[in-house]
Amino acid sequence: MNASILACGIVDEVGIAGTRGIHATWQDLEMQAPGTGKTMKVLFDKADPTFRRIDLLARCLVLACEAADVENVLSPEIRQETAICVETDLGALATDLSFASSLGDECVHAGIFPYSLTSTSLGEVALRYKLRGPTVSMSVRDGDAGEALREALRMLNSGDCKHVVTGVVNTLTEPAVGREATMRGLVAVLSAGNTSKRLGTLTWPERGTATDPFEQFAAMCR
Amino acid sequence: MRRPVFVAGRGAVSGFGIGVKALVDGVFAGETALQARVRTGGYDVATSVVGEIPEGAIDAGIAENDLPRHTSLLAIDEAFEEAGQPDRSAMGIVLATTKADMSGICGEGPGLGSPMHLARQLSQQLELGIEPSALSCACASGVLGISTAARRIATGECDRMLVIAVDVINEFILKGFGGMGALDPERCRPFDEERRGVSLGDGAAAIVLSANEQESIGIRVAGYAGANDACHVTGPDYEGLGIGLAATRAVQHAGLSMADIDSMHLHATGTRANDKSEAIGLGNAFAEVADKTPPAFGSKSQTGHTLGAAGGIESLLAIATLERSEVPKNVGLENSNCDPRLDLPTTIRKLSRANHALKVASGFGGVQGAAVFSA
Repeated sequence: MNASILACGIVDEVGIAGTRGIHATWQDLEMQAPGTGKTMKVLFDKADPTFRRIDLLARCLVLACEAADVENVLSPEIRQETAICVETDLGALATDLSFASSLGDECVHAGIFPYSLTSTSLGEVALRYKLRGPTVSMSVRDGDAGEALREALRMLNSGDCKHVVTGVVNTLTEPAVGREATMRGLVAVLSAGNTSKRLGTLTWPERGTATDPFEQFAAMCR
Repeated sequence: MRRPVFVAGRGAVSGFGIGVKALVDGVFAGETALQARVRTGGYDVATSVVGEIPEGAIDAGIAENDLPRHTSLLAIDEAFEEAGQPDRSAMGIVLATTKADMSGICGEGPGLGSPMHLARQLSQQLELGIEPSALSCACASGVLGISTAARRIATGECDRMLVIAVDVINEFILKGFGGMGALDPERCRPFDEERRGVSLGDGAAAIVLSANEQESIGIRVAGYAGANDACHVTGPDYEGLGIGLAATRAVQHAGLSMADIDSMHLHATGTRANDKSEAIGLGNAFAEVADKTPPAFGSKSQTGHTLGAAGGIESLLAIATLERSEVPKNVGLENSNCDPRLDLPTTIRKLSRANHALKVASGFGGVQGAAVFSA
């Protein structure tokens, strides 16, 4: 199984980069990762009035999609059928802990409850780019990395989808419950078969290898 | 060329107790498992009822965070029994849930709301030969889990897969939905003009899928698909575009026409927005072939909304419409104020033809899933 890589973008603690040609550090931008309400305007000259209200997972993924230039890489017609398949190890852990801390209060943090589901964060991506294919949030843990890539390849090679926005997202701003602080949102736009527009080819990432299966995309972004 | 995918075994745990028979008999008899809260009675939320697993059906000493694992194993036992204790050495599991084990977030433990944590536990305990997968697609998890597992069989990657769809109600979930004002204070009434919100419930559904027709219970997973509203992350598209797309795509994936669908199990949460848009979306999806949809029902007024388990539990009920050649009544529905093209029986409806049943599901994030089961 393989697929064409059309574009990719990455957001991490250091900065944002992508095949759109953007390379910037948060330090240079004088912003905290992963951006503020002004980030979309400053980097992409776009208005996104709700960006500052969405959770960190969604912010990372939306910015990574911008760095990959999803809106121009995939036509509006193609995006109507494009799937999203993203994996996460931490899931919505930061939101879960924040919401759980309010359980004893008179009023819980109801506004953040929907973001305790990672599909909500993926939904923020879907609605911004009108990605109306299947949306799948895969859970991984300690060494399963690449599950979203394998599932994306299955979707493409089975003919169930022609294009998939796949990737990985993990955010935790402070160490908690034994997990270290981290921030990474990476997306890759994949297409079935070989296309002349491809930047590279994704082959089946085997389980249990020491190599980070997302590293090839990160390297393309840089 | 896609290989056919057959259902080989089923298991369930629900508010009706342990077993698929208890679930199906209860739902088709028009009963409800929504009762006064007992296990969750200490949580201060604005609803009097949930569909808890009945007292006595499971060991009262099991910690709430371990209930997803425990109920999963009960459902799997039943499914393996019906499947004739299939060879597990070449079987994989797809776990579909919202959060599963909340230990470490609520109370002590290593779960951290990670579906993969539970998937690994189950896979190791059952000694399954293929590495587990886990997905969290909100309330569409169960249907999308079936799709994910079926795809692996259809493409020849595996010959057998186990799907487990599970969620157990806890303080985190109850207060989350309560805080959003989404709970009906009493039993929910999907599609009724007086509906006020959702009722929640415990659930686990296990489905063994196989490439081998000889292992089949006489049911095939004929088609499956997903979609996204791409409209709002917690509210539906008011035209029901996403659910209509998922339904249409699943029917096409099955190689069928919308006119071939004989029965339909709906998402039917009981919230004003969901039911209204679901009726419009499905009315539109069937509009080219009929003035009315096939007879359709929801069961959340009977089991409660079992969240990540719902797609699994309700797929078993969709299959039951084919086996019984009838569609149960929509419990709690007296007067619908939704799109009248959605055919919602208020008494049990005999089917003149029972070949293909459609199951649809929706979730936070605009996520939609649909599956077609064929006899």
